[in-house]
Amino acid sequence: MQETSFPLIFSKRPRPLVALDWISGLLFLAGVALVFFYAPLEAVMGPVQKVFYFHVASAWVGMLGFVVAAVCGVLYLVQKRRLWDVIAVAAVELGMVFTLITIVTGSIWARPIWNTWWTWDPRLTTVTIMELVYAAYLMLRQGIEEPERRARFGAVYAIVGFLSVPLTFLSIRIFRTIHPVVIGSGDPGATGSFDMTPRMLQTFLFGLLVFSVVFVDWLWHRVRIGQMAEQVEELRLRAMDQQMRRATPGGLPVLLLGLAQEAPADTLGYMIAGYAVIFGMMAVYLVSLVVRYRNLKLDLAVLQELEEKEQS
Amino acid sequence: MSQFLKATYAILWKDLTAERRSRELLSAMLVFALLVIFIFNFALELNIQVRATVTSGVLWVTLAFAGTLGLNRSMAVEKDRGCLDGLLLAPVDRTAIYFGKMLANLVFMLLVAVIVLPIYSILYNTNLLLPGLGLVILLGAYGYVAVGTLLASMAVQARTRDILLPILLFPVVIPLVVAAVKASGGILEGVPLGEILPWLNLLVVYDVLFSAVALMVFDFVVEE
Repeated sequence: MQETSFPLIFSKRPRPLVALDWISGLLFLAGVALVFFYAPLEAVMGPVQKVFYFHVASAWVGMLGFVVAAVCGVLYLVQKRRLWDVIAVAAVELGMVFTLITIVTGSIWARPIWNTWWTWDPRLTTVTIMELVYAAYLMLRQGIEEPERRARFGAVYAIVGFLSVPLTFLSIRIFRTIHPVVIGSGDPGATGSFDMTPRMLQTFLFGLLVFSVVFVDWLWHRVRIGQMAEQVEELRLRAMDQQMRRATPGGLPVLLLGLAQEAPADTLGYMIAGYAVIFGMMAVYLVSLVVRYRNLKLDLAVLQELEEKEQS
Repeated sequence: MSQFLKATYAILWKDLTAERRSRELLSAMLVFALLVIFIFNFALELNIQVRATVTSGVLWVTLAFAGTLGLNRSMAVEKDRGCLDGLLLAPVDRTAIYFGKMLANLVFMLLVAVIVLPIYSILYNTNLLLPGLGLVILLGAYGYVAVGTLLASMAVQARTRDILLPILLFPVVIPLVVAAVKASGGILEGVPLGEILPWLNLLVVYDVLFSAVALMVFDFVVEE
């Protein structure tokens, strides 16, 4: 590509982002190593307890995503800057991915310990309803074409949805919980609770750090993709104005999840399944990011060519 | 302030008058509510033992579904006939528009409840006409339409509006519905007030919180 009227601003990652990519990658590997080789085996539950480290970490990051989305919603309504909207969508998407990881890994952990894949406990239920709130958020956005209105409605719904989450939790809390409260005081009789040894605590805290860094890194990438998508949308509208409709590549890969039922005799299988899910889903999401990035890049190139032709 | 109240009242009056003349909305909501009750009758085998525990649930699901129907319709009418633009041109505080529509929806929902409750009482030979239940229905319906009116005014402006409203509304009103079902169930079973109070508190908190949020953000929803 030579000179273009609309420069490709996203052809290269900025240097801090490259550094962050490396840092988060290395931290992630270190976190995995800590979980498998440093953290001790829990006496009662066995290997499956190791799911805990990344289970809680992704729950935290998922929550963080929704907080960021709500804050960006408020900021967008006040300042009307497009960037806040792009960040909000990115945060919601990441929040949904990590919350889904939390739900599925929790389910795998629950099978051998609570002897059921699912229980109607306040936290499980709230987290799942939260996931549904943000699924509704994405569907609302999908139904609106005009970008400015889409951003406004998204912001309003992100705020309303976020405020409903604590109330949902409160309303379901009345039912007795069997979810272990590992952090802070909880019901000591809850099945599956345990005391953390120093090594467990270190691994756990490191896991939180790792996921936070990974979250920031991925959020940055996702925001860049969002900005690129906006640029593509703008160019496409312009191209359509010039009455040059053309089919363009694009589209999301469908996330597919297969869960095999296993015998609850040996919890090692569950730990492996838990981490397979974590790695698998993170990998699928990463691939989807890469695919979208490449598709957008192709779109940009095609649209710019059109633009050039039009101008010459 | 009196200007605000006047505008609110004008919108409420407009909606009620339109409904009094056409009777489109209320009749649809009522027939729908009765149908839901009949379906529940067969789906749940509402014999005497089961009835005692599920009545409040059946009641609230019926009200919620009928309410969605009403909310969708009340905003869609404004949008389709271009009335919304007219309303927005009026030199009044826009939150007055929200409040007027919200109150009109509340009236419709309460009317449905007022008709459904005695019918349910007759059909199942249980007395649902209790003052406590009336209070719970008032609090629950208020919260429901407070959020519902806000979300419906967004949903009607989307491409997929008819299917969108329940998807937007239900996950957000879950705490309200849970609290309302629990409180009504407690009142119907004659549980002492102390045990119902947490649920009533939750209803009040929900109502206050979401009317405040709706008042703050409604401007952004209708802004053009």
